[in-house]
This record gives sequence, C-alpha cells and structure tokens, in this order.
Amino acid sequence: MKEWLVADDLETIALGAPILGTGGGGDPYLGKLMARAAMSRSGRVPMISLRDIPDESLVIASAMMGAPTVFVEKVPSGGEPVVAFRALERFLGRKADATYSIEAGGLNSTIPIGTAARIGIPLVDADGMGRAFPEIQMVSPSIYGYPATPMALADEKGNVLLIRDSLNNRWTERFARNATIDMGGSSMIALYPLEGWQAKRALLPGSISLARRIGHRIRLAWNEKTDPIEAVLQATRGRELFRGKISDLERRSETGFARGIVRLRGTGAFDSQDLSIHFQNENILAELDGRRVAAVPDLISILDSETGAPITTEGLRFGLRVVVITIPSHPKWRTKKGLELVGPECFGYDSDVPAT
Amino acid sequence: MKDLLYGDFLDIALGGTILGTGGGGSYGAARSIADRVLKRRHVRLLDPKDLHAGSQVVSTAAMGSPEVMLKRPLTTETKLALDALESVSGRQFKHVIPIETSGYNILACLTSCVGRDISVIDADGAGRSIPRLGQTLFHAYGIPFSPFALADHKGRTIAVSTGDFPLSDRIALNALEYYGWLAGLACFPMTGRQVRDACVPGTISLARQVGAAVREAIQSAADPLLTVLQVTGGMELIRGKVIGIQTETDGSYTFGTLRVRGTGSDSGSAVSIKSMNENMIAWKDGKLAAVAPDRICYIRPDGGPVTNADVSQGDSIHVFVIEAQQPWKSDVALGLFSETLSAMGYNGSYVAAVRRQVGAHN
Amino acid sequence: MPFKIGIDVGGTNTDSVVLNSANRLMAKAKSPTTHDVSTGIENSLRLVLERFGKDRRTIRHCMLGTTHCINAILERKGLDRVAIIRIGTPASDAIPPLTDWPEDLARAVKFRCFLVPGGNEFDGRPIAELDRKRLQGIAKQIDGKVRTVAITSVFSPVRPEHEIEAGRIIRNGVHHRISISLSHDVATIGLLERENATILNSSLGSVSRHAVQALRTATRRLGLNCTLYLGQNDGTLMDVASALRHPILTVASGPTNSIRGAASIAGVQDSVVIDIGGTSTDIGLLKGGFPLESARPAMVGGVRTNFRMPDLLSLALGGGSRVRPGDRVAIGPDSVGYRLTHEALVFGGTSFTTTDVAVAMGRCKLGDPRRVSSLPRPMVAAADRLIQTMVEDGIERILTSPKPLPVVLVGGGSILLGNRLNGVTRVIRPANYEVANAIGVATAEIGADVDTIMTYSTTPRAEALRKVRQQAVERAVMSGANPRRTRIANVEEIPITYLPGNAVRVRVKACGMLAT
Repeated sequence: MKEWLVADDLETIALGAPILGTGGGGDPYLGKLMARAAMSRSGRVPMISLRDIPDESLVIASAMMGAPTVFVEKVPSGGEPVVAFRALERFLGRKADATYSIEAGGLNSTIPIGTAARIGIPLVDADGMGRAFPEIQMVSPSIYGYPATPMALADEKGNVLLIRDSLNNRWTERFARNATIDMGGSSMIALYPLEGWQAKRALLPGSISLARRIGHRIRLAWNEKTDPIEAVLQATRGRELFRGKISDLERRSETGFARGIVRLRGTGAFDSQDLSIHFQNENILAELDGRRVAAVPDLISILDSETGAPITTEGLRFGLRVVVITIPSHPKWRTKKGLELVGPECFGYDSDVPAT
Repeated sequence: MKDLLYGDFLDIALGGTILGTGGGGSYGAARSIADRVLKRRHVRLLDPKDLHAGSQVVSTAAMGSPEVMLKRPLTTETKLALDALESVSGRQFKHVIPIETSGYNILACLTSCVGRDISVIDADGAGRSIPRLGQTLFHAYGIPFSPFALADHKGRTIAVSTGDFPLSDRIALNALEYYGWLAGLACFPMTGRQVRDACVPGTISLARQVGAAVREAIQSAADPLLTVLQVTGGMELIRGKVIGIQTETDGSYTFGTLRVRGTGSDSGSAVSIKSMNENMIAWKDGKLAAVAPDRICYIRPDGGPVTNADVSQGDSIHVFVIEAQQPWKSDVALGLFSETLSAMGYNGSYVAAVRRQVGAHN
Repeated sequence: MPFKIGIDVGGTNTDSVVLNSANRLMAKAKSPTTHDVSTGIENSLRLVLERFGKDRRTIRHCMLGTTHCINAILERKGLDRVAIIRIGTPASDAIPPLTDWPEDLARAVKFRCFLVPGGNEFDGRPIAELDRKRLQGIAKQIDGKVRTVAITSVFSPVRPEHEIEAGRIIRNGVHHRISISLSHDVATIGLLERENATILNSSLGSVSRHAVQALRTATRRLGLNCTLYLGQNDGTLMDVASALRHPILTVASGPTNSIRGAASIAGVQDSVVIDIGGTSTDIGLLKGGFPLESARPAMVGGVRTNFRMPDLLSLALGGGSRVRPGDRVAIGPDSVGYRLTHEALVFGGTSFTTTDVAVAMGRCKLGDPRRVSSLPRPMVAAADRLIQTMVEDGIERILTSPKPLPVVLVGGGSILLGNRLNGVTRVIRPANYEVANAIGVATAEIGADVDTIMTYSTTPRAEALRKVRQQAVERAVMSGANPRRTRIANVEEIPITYLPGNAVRVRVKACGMLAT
C-alpha cells in the first residue's frame, strides 16, 4: 500500500516517536524541521508498506549518529544524508529504491523522511528497532546476520568515510562512533543496505505509521480533553505498569552515557508500592517492590500523568507525577539471537525478561 | 625493470633499517615480512625514469605501534588496504611506492604487489623515515592524501574521502585502536607525473646496496660503518657507547633523548640525539651537528642494525649523518619539521651537515 | 540613608514601593497598568512618592520590571527590522534563520538573512575559515538600510571569536549607526533557540530605548535623580546600558519578581511561593534566593528560545473559581474572576465560589457570612478539603527533594488556605504581599550567567571552572555589579553524552551588589 506523507504527518510522527523512544532517542524537533524544509521543495513523500517492496529492490537506512549536543548546535546543511547515500550507491553500483528508519523511537524517525524527500525515493513504513537503542548493532537485521556495512558516514563539509567491510556489527558501531567524533561529533549515515526480500524478512513493519498514530491520538486527547494516557495505550498494545511520583533520582555519567536509577512512590491503585527504573540513555528495566516486572527488549516509557507527554531521561525530576507504561517489543527481539543483541545482559543485568 | 628476490628482501631489511634514521620499524619485524610473506616471491622494481606520466600509482605501507609491529607479523594488511582503495575509488593501480625508507615499510609496500600484476617504483615519499603522515614529500608538494584506505588481516576495511588532511590524519590514527594497533594503509593515489615531481628516487636500490655492503663487510671482516659511508656519501658523527636513554611515550609517538660518549679516537666527545620515533636533531660537544631532514643514522660496530626502540644503555653504537636529498631542499619541505624541532628546543633553520663526498652518491 | 524604588508592571496593576537600604518598606502604591505602559509607571511612581513624603533626593536607585518588551513581541508592534547573520556554513543551512517562527512575527523583524562560512566545532576547531570578505560585503549591503544586526555563530558559547570579529567587521564597514547583538552574550547552546533569542533581542532596540526614556522622563519629572536598573528573567538586575544591549533578558522578569519578592518579605531563601489570584494559582520554588528554573524550552511570542524561565506550576484554582457540589465536589476551572465582589454568594450573588467556602469554613470574614450559613456542612468541608489538597499536590509536584519547606502565601485568593498544609514546615502570610513584585525587583542584585562547554581533558576541571567563574564575574561587573561585592551564586556541571574527552556543560551564575 502506498500513501503520501504530508507536513502534518511530521507533527504527529514527531509527537508519537518519543513515546517509542523509551526515555532516549533524541528530540525529533530538528529532524522535523529538516524534513519539512525538504518536503516544501519536493512535495509529499510516498510511504510504502514493507510487504509491498519488490524482492529485488535495494533499501538503505538513513540516520543521524553522534552527540545530541552537537546536533542541536552544528545543525546540518541538509545534503549530508544524500552524500552518504550516494557514496553507498556508488560503491554498490546501484541506486537505492527506498530508504527506511533505523530507529523509530525519537529523532531518527524524522531523518529518513527528509532524506526520502531530498532524493526523491519513498520511505518504507518500517524500522530496525521498534523503539530506541543506543548502538548500531542493536537492530533487527543483525538478528539475521545482515551486516551494517558497507556503511557511509558524511559530514557537512563533504567528507565521506566508507566502512567497506567489518568483522561484525559491534565493531562497526565502535569504529563508526569513534570516527563520528573525528568528524566533529555528529554525522549522517547510510547503512544496512538490504535487498527487498531481506528487508521483508528482517525489518519491523509499520513503525512510522505507529508513531504517527500515537501522536495523532495524543493530540486528539488534548483537543478533546480526554485522557492522553488512555489514548497512548490504545494506539500501542501497551499497558499501564505503574502510576506515582518520582521520589528519588540517581544519575551518573560514564563514558558518555547517561546512566542511573529513578525511583517512584506509587499513588492511587499503586499506593505504598515502589517502582525503580534503571536507565542508560534509554529505560532498561523496571522493578516493582524489588521484583523485575519489565525489561528490554520490551519498551518502558515514562509519561507525564496529566499531558501524556513522554519524559526523557534528561527530563526526569524529583516530584514529577508520572505514569509508567510498558509496550511489548516486536517478537523478533524475544528470540535467542535478539536477546543476545539487546537483552538485559547487553546492558549489564542478568538475563531475566518478564513475560509481557 | 628488475626483479627483486628473497636475497634482495633480506638486504633491504638490513639496509632499510640502517637508513631508517633510528625508527621506521624494527629489523626483526622487517625480517619477518621477508621470511613469512615474501620468501618465495618476486617483485618487479621500476626505475622512476621509466614511469609513464599518466600511470596510476598509490603509496602503500603499514602503520601501528612499535610493540604490536614486533609482536604481530604483517601478513595481508597492506594488500587488503590496496584492494579496498581500488574497489571503493574505482581506480586500478599499476604501481605502488613506499611511503618512507625503512626496512619494515619498504617491505610492507612490497607485500601489496604479491599475487598482482603491480610493480614497485624505486623511490619513496621521504628518502628516510618519518614519524607523521604529514611529513612526507607527497604531502609537502600538494598531493592529496585522500582517498585512502585502511585494513587489517581480518578484512575490516574502511575508505575515506576528504580534502581535509588533519581529519584524515586523525581518523587514521584513531582507527589504529580499533585495528588492534596494526593496519595496512593505501594512500596518496597519484599519477606518474606527480610521483616524479615529489619522490626521492633510487631509495629501494640504495637500501639494498647498503644491506649488501654491510653483509659483505661482515663476511670479509671489513669495517661496516666505512662501507656504509662509501655507499651513501655520509659522514661519521661518533663511535662510542650509549650512556643515557630517556623516553616518553605519547600515543604512537615516543620522544627520546639518546646520549653517546665517544670511545677510541672519539674519546672526549659526546653526542646527544633527540628523536620522535625517528632521529630529528643531534648535537656534538655542545654544537649543532645535524638537523632533519638530514638523516641521523645508527649502526652497531658489528654491522647489526639498531633503532631507538631497541637500543640499550651501555650498547656500543656508531652514529653517522647523511645529508638530505635534493627534493628536501625547498622551503615547504624543510618546513615540515619545524614544529617537531621547535618542540625539541630548536628554532633555527636547516643547516646542511655534510658536503657530498667525491665518488659517492645518495 | 539612601532609599530605593521598585516598580513592577503587572497584567492588571503597576506596583511600586520605596524601601530603605535595609529593605524595609517605607511606602507602597498600586495603579492600573495602562496600555502604553509608561503612563501607568509614572502614575504609580507619583503615588508612591507622595506617600513616601520624604526628600526625593534621598532616593538613590530605581529598579523596574516592565512589560514593554514582551508586549511589543506579543503584539508585533514597535519591533525593529533586523539584519540576521548566521555564521556556520557549510553547516546549518538545512534550517535557515526564522524557520518555525509565527509568520507575522517573522515579517515584523526580518530585514534580510545572510549565511556566512565560519563557526566552530564542539572542541573549538573552526568549521571553516571566517569569510571576512563576505562580511564586508554584507556591511555595505545593510549600511543605512537597517539599524540593528543579530550575529549567531555555531558553537559561539564555546568559542566566540568569529562572532566578535564579525561584529567588528560590520561595525567598521558601515557609516551609519548600527547596534549589534552577538548571540554568545544573549543565550546558550542550542543554535536555533540562541539565534531566535538574539534576533528578538535585536528587534527590541527601539522599544527598550523608549522604555528607558519613559522611565528617565518620569523619574526626572517627579524630581528623582537616581540610577536606573532593569529586572532580568532570572530575578537579577542589569544596569541601563546592559539592558539596552540585551533587552530580551528582561522580558520575563515579572513572575520571577513576584516569587522573590514574596520570599524576601517573608525573610526566607528557600521556600515554596504560592500566589492565588482570582482565577488561577501560580506555585514557584525558591532555592538560595533564586526561583527554580524550568527545563523546557521557553516560548517567547511563539518563538522557541532556551532561556531558563522560572518553573511555575499553574492550577486552575482561584478566589473566584466556581464550586460544583455533587457526589464528588468539583472546583473550576471556570471562575467569576474580577466579578467576584458581585457574584459570590457572600456578596449577594448567585455563584457558589471558593471564597464562599472559605467564609463558610470560618477561614476569613468577607461579605455577609449568613448567606452561606445554610450550606450543608459535609459538602462545604469536602470542598474545602479539595482546595487544600489541590494546593498540597501542587506543592509536592514542585519540590525537588523530600525535605519540606516553608510556604509563602500571597495574592488575594490566599484566604482560601488554612495555616496547616501537608508537606510544609510553616505557612507564612507576609504583610504587603500585594506589592511583592515591586519588592522583588527592588531587592534584587546584579546578576550574570555564563553557560558554555568545557572539555576537561584539554582544560583540567579546576582551571576550567576558574575560567568560567571569572567570565561570569566579569559579565556581572559589566552589568553594573560592584567587583568587590560580587560572588558566585551557582555552579552547575552537566556531563555531555556521546562526546569524548570529558566534555561538560558548565553554567555559572555570578551576583553582586550594585556598584553605585
């Protein structure tokens, strides 16, 4: 099925994507503005369902990599994703038929829309995570052994780095992240080139339209003064995990990641209960009165109890009234390979993942 | 066109290390390339005069930390870097050229010819060994370093396209960590004309000749140092004993000060040499004796090679100086060392150390 | 013994006070805010001076918190056209200046936008060499056509050199008078937000000059000969010269003044301040004498900026809020507002309001208590409990640590609350709370902020903090602080994710007493 993304879709996608961002993923605001600027020149962007892409087509993911602090200050020139794309296409000897999002939870939901508009190719309604994760190998194509390489990184000055071959996606992540710092702290990347049949096998379908649906329902709830939390739960397959007030916040910064634990004191039905959420940029696991009740790969999102707005790990503060929701991850993440990539052990915790 | 064979590789390992101005990779690591990778191979050597102006040439080398270069023998790294650069840039190279004169890096360059219809040019980008990519004559004379490629023996390859040399330098250096501190490098893709204008010619032959001469001197119990001086046109600086070594390592650079006290006819003299991996400046008896790009080289009394990385307190050592070659004698080329020398306390200009001796050649 | 005057322009009234140097209240006055703002200021001043009675020459300082600037932005009136220069190409041109501005505001401020090569990376290296020729060309193009320029360079809070040099080139390249705003003086990291703030700053040139002129005229006309200061968004002051350079920093001094003023009268540095009006309640938190700042981007006139505005919690609860009895009693959000004195039950009206509940509960004596004596007791108690709970919940939400604090209660609607509230140590109802804003601005100190990124692996932490502290002190002194009486009020270090070398966001606030 093909439909057209218009400017208003950017608003709803940018509103809903951070819910999938589980506390991380970056602020979609700039990505939205970039996509809007690109769309105002090119017109609407076609979006196609994952199952409709031809088996022999070539799809390449488009994303931003690096420090959000750099991204909001050294705003891109707009051509970088195209430069990265072209470098990959040149090396592969063929043009991409479509682009897709590597991470629908956050900023990287909007970046590929801008790329699609600039290049004039469709966006696939799918992504590689179904949420946000901190590292490049933590995507569903990795489960099937598909390499992130060849991968191109580009900056605003026309510098291009192509990682042609790599041992594994973890090495690619470490190398690319380091190279991104050399290039100024922020780069636009083209990676995980997949043939249509591989994409259909490996990607998570419907992620962009899900982000849009969530955003749309929240906005509707605001306008009609109905419960935005209920709206989010209906739009996802989530459930309310906890409701309460932030009673303690412990934050550390290690090797450039924001790590910590946030503790909540329950209210209403959760009165006299305590929930702790461990985070590393994204929310990793939740413990209710000491018992683990949710963990990666499942999504754990903290929402403002009044507005339903998602709260990032930077935005956490003592005293906030919040609702914690959990949304089951895509089943692919629950496989053995999936858990090897993104299970709690990858973040330093034991492997127990509670049933959804 | 001449064919280089195993015996030549051994001579190049020895002669190249001696001409490596105290650095450039250890003799042991160079020998290991000759023995493991090149033993039953031959490599065609092309005189730069026979190079067509439009031919595609690229410089290949290995880069890494001295410890890992010694512990982990070079195998396919340089070859794979060349492959990567060709496949990403779409260019097919007919010739390769070493980036510097050293036993290790001349032989590393030769490994990229193995199994390919590629010849190596009898020249290199410095005529000596240099610590930084930006100190080659290729760079001094405006040849772009990029596109370049890096690879390791596991096949992890990257290619970089940028006009920003400091960015290239940073990426290449920082990439070493992810390559376990040893990687093959293919860089400075150029045409035959560019090579002729920027290289130091005849350096592979010279390394071979120096190695052969030392080998023969040892066999005939002649003085290895005098033999080398005859072949290179260099000048003795001191024969003595190492009485002091100070080093400080900062990433992949080792800054050293070596002090030698003269023995025999040189008793009463002392020489002090400062290095940044390679030797940069020498004083004798308090006066400036030699400064880069002039080559301050070592040889053991028995003809064995020695570098700053493997010299020890109390070692007997001969130090000699060879004047820098003609391509170095321009302001832009001489300027490549000013920052390094300034950090070593020398802010003056280049002063040639020796006059060319009659009958000898560079 | 010198005196000082504080004036604060509110939505309804313009308050003024005269304080002595020990901050004791000598006289107060309220006068309706006028549309042109200046007249209301003069009226209020005149009134308070009459009440003061003493020799006006003993009044040394006059501090003003005004709405001239925010009104100009909200109404899109009186704004200057700005030549907008952004330095940072080849980066940043995906989102040109004025993107995402409300159209009418963009039209009001735009002269032309220029994009110039230059700017810096996060570690200070240049993105490109500053294109001096282009800047010289721009100077020629704008000379005589526009009076104000806003210059924003990528990462200028870390490396301001390109901005400073660009400013110099423009100034040297024009023959007519021109005023130049450099973004690193105005706001912090976040290119669009900082640029937006700088453009707004530039556009307020005429308005701010007019406001200062009005104040000068009024003070002179009334026989005053005092130094003038303007209140900043964070509750500190700047001298007039600084306020004319950075008027955008004065747009939101109102809410801050009220919080600080309330606490100042109450004599507490750490407290919750609750201002209950006719329709709504504003709750703010004061820590170390400064209001808690909101983490969200501050929207000014519909434009995204990164000013740290006071974090105010607003509740739809006021003295005039309607009460709905029923199975579960409900309050508001609708309110009779200023019609309270006609419509509330106790005043003979027919609307059941929270004021009626307060009177029925015996919390205060207003109107005719007999008119509410027949209301069912349980329902009144339930409504009263709900009022207390709404406020207690709000207090809990704004606290940043479990430690309970005192609460300072101001505003006409404060009669709704009892003297015992959950989660507070005590309830303070200060005298003169109705002029808390004016007291707030009068008791403020000069303040300045520096917010930048330091890389501790390049500059060791101790030296980095020393540098930033020094910068903050210098800025404060430039705004009119006494260098010998200036201190560091706050230091914040926030590690930055995904960057190496221990990159840290460092924020330092310096405060000092007035130099005169």
